[in-house]
Amino acid sequence: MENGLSLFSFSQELVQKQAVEEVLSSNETSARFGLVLTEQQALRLVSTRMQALKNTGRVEFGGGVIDKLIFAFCDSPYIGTQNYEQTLHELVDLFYYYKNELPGTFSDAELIELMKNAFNGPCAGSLELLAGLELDVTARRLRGGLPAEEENSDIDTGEGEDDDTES
Amino acid sequence: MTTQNLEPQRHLDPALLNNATYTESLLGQAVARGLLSPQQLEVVQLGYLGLLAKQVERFTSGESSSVRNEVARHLMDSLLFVVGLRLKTCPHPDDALALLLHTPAQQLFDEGMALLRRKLQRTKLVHTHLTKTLLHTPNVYYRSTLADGIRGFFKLYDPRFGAQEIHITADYPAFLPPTGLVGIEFMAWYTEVLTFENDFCRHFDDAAIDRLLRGIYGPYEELLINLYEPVLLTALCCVLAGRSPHALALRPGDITALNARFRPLTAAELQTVLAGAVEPLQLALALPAGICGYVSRSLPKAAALLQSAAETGTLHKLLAPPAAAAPADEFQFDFGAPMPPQQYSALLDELCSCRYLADKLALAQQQITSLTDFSNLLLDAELEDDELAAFVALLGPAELAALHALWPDDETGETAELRTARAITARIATLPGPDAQWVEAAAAKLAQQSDPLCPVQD
Repeated sequence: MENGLSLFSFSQELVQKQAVEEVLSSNETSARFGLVLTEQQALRLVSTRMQALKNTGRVEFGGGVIDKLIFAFCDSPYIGTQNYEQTLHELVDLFYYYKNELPGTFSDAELIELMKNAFNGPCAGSLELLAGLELDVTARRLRGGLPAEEENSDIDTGEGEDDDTES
Repeated sequence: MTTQNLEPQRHLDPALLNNATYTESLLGQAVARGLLSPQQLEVVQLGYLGLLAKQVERFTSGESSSVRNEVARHLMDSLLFVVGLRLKTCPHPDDALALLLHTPAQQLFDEGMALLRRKLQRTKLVHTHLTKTLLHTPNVYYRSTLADGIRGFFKLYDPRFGAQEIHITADYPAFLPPTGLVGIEFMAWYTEVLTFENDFCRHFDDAAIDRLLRGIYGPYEELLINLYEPVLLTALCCVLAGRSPHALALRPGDITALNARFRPLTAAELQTVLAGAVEPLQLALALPAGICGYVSRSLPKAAALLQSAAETGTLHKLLAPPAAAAPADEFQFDFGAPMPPQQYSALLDELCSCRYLADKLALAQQQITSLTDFSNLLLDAELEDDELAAFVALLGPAELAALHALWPDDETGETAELRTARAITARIATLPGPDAQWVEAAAAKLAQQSDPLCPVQD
């Protein structure tokens, strides 16, 4: 019997091709805030996403979460043209990492909302704080069966983190 | 020119396709034989990629755009299995390839899903028939797999996201081996062949099958064996030995003669011999055409088994005379050991001196521990009729049956035995219908058995 053709493994390159087109289409929305990705940047973002997916053992189709991150973060006061692409790379990495860390019932939209509120709020645009404190604590709370909400207020009280980083 | 271009597409070999992964093996063979250009392949891949994306969205209820690799692979396997169901309806793999290339993935998936749901519904109906007509056998795997196991499959099976799954372990082996089927295709095949096998066995008396299986295997309650195989082989060999197949009762001499007859034959020759027994078997058992067809499909394996056994001198492991009736069919009753004679005499004296029936009953209940003593007391205690009835009322159905067998109420007279026999008969008449019938049947069986009941006499 001849070996079958694995449509699944062949599909990864095609996924990338589709994704670049979808990421570029999100420029329409982000352009209102002066943020636009070039095709090269979109390709690099998709590569980052592919690597993040590979690292976390996940598969995604189309533009996937990059589009959603762009729509959620393009109006952030902490993002400008100079750090737009880099911030998106790190947000993509963080998203997939915590997607695996959080319970399966936690939706994309909920995670992005959590990231956005923390990034624009207590983390004040700091990706390090977002990764190292806010998301980490939330993931631990959710894994322990506690709601994410209350911990947010705890984190808020520790907003002296800005001070910590400065010191 | 057109004919020449189409000609290579007529070279897909159905025998090289995998039943379980039909779509992938179809594409694999087409690529390997140069029937698909890279562009055509990419179009197909893109189509199924889009379908997978939709399935992932449905699977996550739109809440996650990404899933773990194994989940995506599983979903892809599922949707390709569904598409494969549609492709398999094509008369030739070349037609299936053309359909795959020229039909949108979603359409093939929808058509495949419709086929799947019809197959699922039909399999459920066949299974309902199977469970309603299940052979009565003490083999634990038979019911646990054929009824409960397959029912479990229907509960767990999810055609949307796991169409290729089987879920259950399908412990009980069918006579014919599966041909690499998965998902509902496997379950439809499994349910159907087991229904044929069950229906075939139902043409024989349950007890005859039980005796045959005990004759071959001994205690077989917990053996993971196919029950149809010995029944089929024995039934065919009964015909060949000139015996009625109904009793499934070959004699040692029959097996020796069959061994000598089979040994020089090849499996193919033996299959021809067995084929000659099918029609007489069909006539003797009034087998429906469907079951008869399954018997015919079973012949190559049956012939191979018998030929191999004859060649290696192990035919007695496949064919055996039936065992004697199972112990469960016999009634055995132990009257129990009597108390020492002096103790019995003292009890009898004390009982006869009791003024009230209640005291007599209480004394008997306190001191008597065997039916031997109790039956002796019924004869020796010079009880009045009402007292006798009260004593007999202390007995359970089994004791009543034993004493009824011992003292059948078939004579007139006033001996102690006959008075007691009448009391027992009267007591049986007061029992609820089924209990009374059971006591009568048990007493009749006990009376017929070769080892008659003999309570120990002092």
